[in-house]
Amino acid sequence: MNGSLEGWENRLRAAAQEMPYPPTPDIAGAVRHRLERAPQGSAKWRLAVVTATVLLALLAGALSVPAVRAAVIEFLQIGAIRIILPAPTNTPTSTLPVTMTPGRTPLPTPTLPPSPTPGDLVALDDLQGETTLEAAIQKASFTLQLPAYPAELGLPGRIFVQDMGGTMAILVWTAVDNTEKAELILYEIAPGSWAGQKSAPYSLERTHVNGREAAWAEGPYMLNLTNGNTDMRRLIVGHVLIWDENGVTYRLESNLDLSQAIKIAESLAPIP
Amino acid sequence: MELSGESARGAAQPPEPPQASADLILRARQGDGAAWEALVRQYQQPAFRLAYLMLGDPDEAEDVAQEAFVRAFQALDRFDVSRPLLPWLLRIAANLAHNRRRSIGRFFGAIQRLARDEPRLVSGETNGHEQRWQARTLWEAVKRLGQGDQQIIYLRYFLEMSVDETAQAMDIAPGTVKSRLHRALGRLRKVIDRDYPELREFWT
Repeated sequence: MNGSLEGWENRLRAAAQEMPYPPTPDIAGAVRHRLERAPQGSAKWRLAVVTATVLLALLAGALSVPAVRAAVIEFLQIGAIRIILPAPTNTPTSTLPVTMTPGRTPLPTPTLPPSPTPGDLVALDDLQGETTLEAAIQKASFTLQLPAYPAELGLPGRIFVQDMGGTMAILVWTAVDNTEKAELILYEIAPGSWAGQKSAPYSLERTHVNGREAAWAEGPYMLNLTNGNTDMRRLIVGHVLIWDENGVTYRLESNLDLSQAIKIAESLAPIP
Repeated sequence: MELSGESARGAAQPPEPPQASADLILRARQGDGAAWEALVRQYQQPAFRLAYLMLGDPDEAEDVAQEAFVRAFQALDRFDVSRPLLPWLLRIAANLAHNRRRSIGRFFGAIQRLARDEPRLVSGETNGHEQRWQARTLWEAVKRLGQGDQQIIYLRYFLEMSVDETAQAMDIAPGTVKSRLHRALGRLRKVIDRDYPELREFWT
């Protein structure tokens, strides 16, 4: 760091040390009360951790056997989206990132990029087809839906409609103070669209939305850009929940956890 | 939002006396609630402040700090008593705060409360408290960065953790702290240059 940067850093340090904080509450007292109220909680919690660890170890052991891995399906079809799975490899289990949640089936991670990087991110301003919600409703060949949960979510701040062999509506909720920063994106894709014909995510887990099979994945997907290209890109470093309903394929992109994403997905309702 | 007016300077944690903490930890492991309470009291301020910086809401920060100490107590068997306790506690608090932020309802709620309670600060509108104005404006700028950048800046500059402590709190190598910090500061400087000219001019 050169002298100028060092001086800048020193001013930053001095400013940070003057940060005014709210008074620190009596956390010690509250913690004491909580621990006194639940004396058995610790033992139960440890038992749950041990049980989950044993299950994970058993599962990892099973997946380390090539024959077991080879039995995993080669693609997953959710509505218009076909998610390509990797061919079985002899990769040691310890380096094969497999996601698992009790009650759901883990899948191997494709042998694509070893870890997600922001290099495939695209800015909202580079997306083709920005329009209004009213125009999107008219253009779509199906009934657009919006999440009813969380109640304070409101209407999307930016809306795009792209033609991908069928309408793909992209509804974007942005940060309140930055309309270029997407926080939650809902893609609604018409039947027959090729928008997701080939998708090879960084990670993948099977789950359910409204009792139907769904995918919880991380990775890029096809988008029409303002430069005229159609490219495999994404708008958020996070996960995408993919499911279908009445022939329409939905993709919810966010950095939320799976349970929150499912809650939002299951709250979809037609726009009044 | 009422603030105590107490800044980090002068309230920084004294160096942890390792043996005293180790004794308290060993007693807490054996179920001595008073020992754990003494440790919570010693470290509740930095845990609360880190959660507040990450969440922007004192009630949320209190919940997270409280939960962090409860979970740490439950996991004490796994803690290496030869290491300082504070970075480990801050790692737990940061993880919980991060998860809390990802809960969209709470996150949006906090942002809305922040926007409502704390309109953007303007230089000279803080009764002459230039230093606090700088700190709050700096915090606004840091919040524009990614989660990892925010965390490393909060630990190093706002909570005045050493490189080693920051490394332990983030579970990364000290060398990685330095390189990540360098990149985070570069991004912060760009944000300030672009969006906070009043701060940029003040620091020029």
